Amino acid sequence: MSFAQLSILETGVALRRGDFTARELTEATLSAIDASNDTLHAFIRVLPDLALAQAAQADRDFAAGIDRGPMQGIPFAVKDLFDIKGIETTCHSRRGPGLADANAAVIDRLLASGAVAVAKTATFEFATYGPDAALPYPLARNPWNLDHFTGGSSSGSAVAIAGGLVRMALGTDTGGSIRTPSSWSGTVGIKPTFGRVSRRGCFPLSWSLDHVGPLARSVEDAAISLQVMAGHDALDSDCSARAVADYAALLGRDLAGMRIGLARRLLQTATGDVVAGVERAAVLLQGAGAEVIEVDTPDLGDFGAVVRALLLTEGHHIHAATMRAHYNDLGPMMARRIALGAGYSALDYLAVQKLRRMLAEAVSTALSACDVLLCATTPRVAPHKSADPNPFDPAGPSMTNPFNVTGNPAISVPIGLDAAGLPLAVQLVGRLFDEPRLLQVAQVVERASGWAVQALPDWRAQAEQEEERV
Amino acid sequence: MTNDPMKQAYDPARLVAEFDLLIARAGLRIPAGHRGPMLVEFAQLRAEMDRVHRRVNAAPLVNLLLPITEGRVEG
Repeated sequence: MSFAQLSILETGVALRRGDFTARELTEATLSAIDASNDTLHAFIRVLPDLALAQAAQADRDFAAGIDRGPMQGIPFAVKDLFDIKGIETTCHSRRGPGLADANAAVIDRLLASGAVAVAKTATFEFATYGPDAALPYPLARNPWNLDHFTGGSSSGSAVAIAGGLVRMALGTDTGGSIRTPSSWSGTVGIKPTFGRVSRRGCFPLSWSLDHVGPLARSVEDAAISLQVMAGHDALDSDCSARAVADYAALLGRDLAGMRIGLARRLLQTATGDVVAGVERAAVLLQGAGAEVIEVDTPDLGDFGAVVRALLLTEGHHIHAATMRAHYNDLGPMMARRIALGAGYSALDYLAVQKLRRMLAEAVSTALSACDVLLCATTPRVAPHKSADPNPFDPAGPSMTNPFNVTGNPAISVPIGLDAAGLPLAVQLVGRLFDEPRLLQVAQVVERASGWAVQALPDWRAQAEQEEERV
Repeated sequence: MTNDPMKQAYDPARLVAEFDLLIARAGLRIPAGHRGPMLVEFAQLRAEMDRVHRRVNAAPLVNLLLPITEGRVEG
């Protein structure tokens, strides 16, 4: 059994019992990363010196009776958008910001909890569009089928977890970049409420849409890691000063008295397999005591228009100087789309902000009739890598965009596999700052679906067959 | 050519001229291979924004006494 088959809590028990040390756990994690990365490409940079020093500190603390909580000694991976002091931040680009002179706020929180940063993960360039093969680092590959996309932009973080290398990795989510790779790679990913986790020290894509959150192997792991990450940061003006709830408080409880709102209008473009997954989740939730009702929401297309306009205008401004001086150093997929932000006017931007408020109020109304919304994370399973995604494609509006627009917490949870063996997921959405109830419902889906015992196919064998064909 | 100014705005030649002007004003020099797909996406973008303006202008007023620059509304 690999270490990554133990949950964060189980690993913590074993560490405190002395079954193994944080150093041994970290060394095993680094070895597993080394053995996988030529195929999966989840990691841009491995941090052995830093990780082993942090693991040694965790061991010294255990020996001295200092307990910093459940993340002490737990390895985690970091999307390469977050600064770690003394380490280059690449944003998966030739034009990354470079050597970091301070830790991102969320890195400070995780290190203070005793967690061990082992590596920085692949992403789409500056967390924008992808996958783009014309970048200085290879694309992460989906261990469920190497010929299919991982989804992005937190692609390496999802692969690091799906591949059994770490239990938790940091991600960012501007239009779905935590939840989409979670859906396509069979992991749990939660985008918390806007402002719940500080974004200081994380390279921005769109100030009004960016969220930071964890991707994890299980809902429980996500709850534990989010607990450490959440909280006020006076240096991030969008960060909420609300007290942080106990995210594990409701885990394991049944759903008696709870109402789940099935949002069918958000399934407009979903394939039959995806709709079947959502309907299966509804049945499982009813079985756990919840009442499932149908609720109305605005159309997906409205949310997509808002995200495109905010992301492209704010992203254009962030990257304007780089595009003017070094356009050809950027990958074509990012460059040509972010350049398009020049096509919006100030009046467009404000009209979109007004539409955003209208949409947020409509979702708030839907959530006044129920506790949690149920919909899909993605319209289809992970596409074959020959597909060419177009963000303006009306046939495929994003199902994750709506909750970047509204700021509601949203989580992607695996529900099973399709006939081709690719992961299917559902998306659950909570009221603002009601992550505890959202996680409670998500864990019911996770447990009732039997996802925890779903075995990953042998991606090494697929890679070997690929090499033989070449 | 039509006398309707909205329809004139979607004349392909005018859209191309607008796109080139906006890209030049942004200080960007884009490779020739990018221009074609970007023009298609620019036309889609403008059509999408016209739909947004129509939708917002036809809707009841949002409470403009509240900030509208984020989705989150804390109770």
